[in-house]
Amino acid sequence: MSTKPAATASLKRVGRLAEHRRESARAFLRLRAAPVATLVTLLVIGIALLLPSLLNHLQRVLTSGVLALQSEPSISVYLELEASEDNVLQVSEQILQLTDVDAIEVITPAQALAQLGETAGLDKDLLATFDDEVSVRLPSQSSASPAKSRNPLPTTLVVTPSASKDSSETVADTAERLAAEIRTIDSVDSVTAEGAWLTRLHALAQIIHRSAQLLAVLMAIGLLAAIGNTVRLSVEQRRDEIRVSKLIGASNGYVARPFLYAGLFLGLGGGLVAWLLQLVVVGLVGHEVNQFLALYTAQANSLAVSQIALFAQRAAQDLGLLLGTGAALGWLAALVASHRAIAACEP
Amino acid sequence: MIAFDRVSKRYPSGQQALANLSFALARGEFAFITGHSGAGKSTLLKLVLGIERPSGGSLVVNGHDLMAMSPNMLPSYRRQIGTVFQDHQLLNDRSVFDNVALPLEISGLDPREGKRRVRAALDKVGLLSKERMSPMALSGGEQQRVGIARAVVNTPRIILADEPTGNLDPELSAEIMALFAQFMSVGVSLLVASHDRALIDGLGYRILTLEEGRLSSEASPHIKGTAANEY
Repeated sequence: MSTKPAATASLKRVGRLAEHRRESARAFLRLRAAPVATLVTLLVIGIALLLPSLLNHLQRVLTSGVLALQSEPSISVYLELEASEDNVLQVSEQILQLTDVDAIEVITPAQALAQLGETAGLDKDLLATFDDEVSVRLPSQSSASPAKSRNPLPTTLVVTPSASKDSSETVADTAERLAAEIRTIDSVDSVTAEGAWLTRLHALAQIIHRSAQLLAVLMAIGLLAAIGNTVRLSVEQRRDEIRVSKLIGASNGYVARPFLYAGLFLGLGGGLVAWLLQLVVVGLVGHEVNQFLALYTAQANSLAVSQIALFAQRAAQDLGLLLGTGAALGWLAALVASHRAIAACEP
Repeated sequence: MIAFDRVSKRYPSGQQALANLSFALARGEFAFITGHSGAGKSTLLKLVLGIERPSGGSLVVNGHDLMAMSPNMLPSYRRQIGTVFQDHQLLNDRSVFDNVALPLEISGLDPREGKRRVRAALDKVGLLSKERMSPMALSGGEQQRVGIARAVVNTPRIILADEPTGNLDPELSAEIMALFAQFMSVGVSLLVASHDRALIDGLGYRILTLEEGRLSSEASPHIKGTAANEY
């Protein structure tokens, strides 16, 4: 063995990358050596990440599923069944004279019936029995066919409010005000402003969004503490090894490296667990969510190809977000905890 | 290599561990520090390793002024010193080979080069055949030899040993000392703390005797002083 001091300076150094590979492998093996403790930690991290992520998912489904479809509030004006075409014109003109009215769409009883048939999946023959007013007026001409009933649907005017000139008034408020004004017009049977439930749903989505944010912050703090504590304990367990390593010249940074990797791996693993749990939860309650959405829109019930693509895209986004958040929190917690614990392990 | 100049060490508790200690150890010199327990042997070694800092005087080791050394310089400084501990301080969850490789790993040496060096060190202490075993499976003497292999694998200029034969019978102790003498012969400076007067008196190396933190007597080498170069 050479003892020439000069040899120390010209040693062939191993690459940084190889060093990190060795340290990360060692950290991984240590975690695997205590599978129960590791799994429990992963589950804790996973559940902590799951809660805000699920709320975020719910808010997103609400926003895209309902609010995007009906993003503009509208007012449905149902005319009396007896209203003639002249009445319809008169009412339309009166409404157009009100302030902040953008457009009016007329849905005749026949159109409404056809639409109802489509969305409710009613039989064509059944629909034919309510054909139109002609059959009512002239029953003699169709005596051979079964007696047709009169179409029970009223003429509907869909009024779209424009943005109010008064900036303090929200679109929903405008809709409510217009609805009150339209109610006083002759031949109008009933009026519903759809802005109201929309506003409430918006508010609900907002509450969920805020809660998710708040929960995410709290969970991040909790996770930092939990991962930090795990790392601190494993530093304590290796106190002797750390002391010896320092005595023979290991720097704090060198000693901390496997613990940083452990924190990183725990965070990544926890993120993966959270993602898998979220897939399960979304799969389990997805049906209920779709039913809920179907209450508001007709389109949200079938699982179209585009929806599957959207689902896959969201799942991929969530995976990235959960892994990234987990890794960052795990590494940060390990950094803080190991720095303090290792500094305390002086020889 | 090691120069103590009027070094004193007083612990925060008020205990005066070392007082006005001056001595120098040359390159390739082998010296024992002896004295009763509490005489200051351990404190002296701790000062050289930078575990404790002198309260006064000047301490220069291998060209490094330990009074002026910042804490983040300590790791690279310690890598220049091989240390043998009384209770060998081996890591029981690693093999003999990995224990000896630890200083090389810390230095970031290429593993292939490291392998060669670890084998050479284990061969030197006669344990090459046991490289795959756990330290726990070895006898006390063998464990201490693994500790020595770990101390020398980095080819240090200085070897410190704190009671390296503390738990060994006289025969094994003599073996360990013979091993140290081999390193001395290739230019390594050795500072060995031991209270085993019967053992070290017979070896004929320089002996520094501490008494209540002071150098009470110094016996010069009278047999094997050839390697002690000019200082």
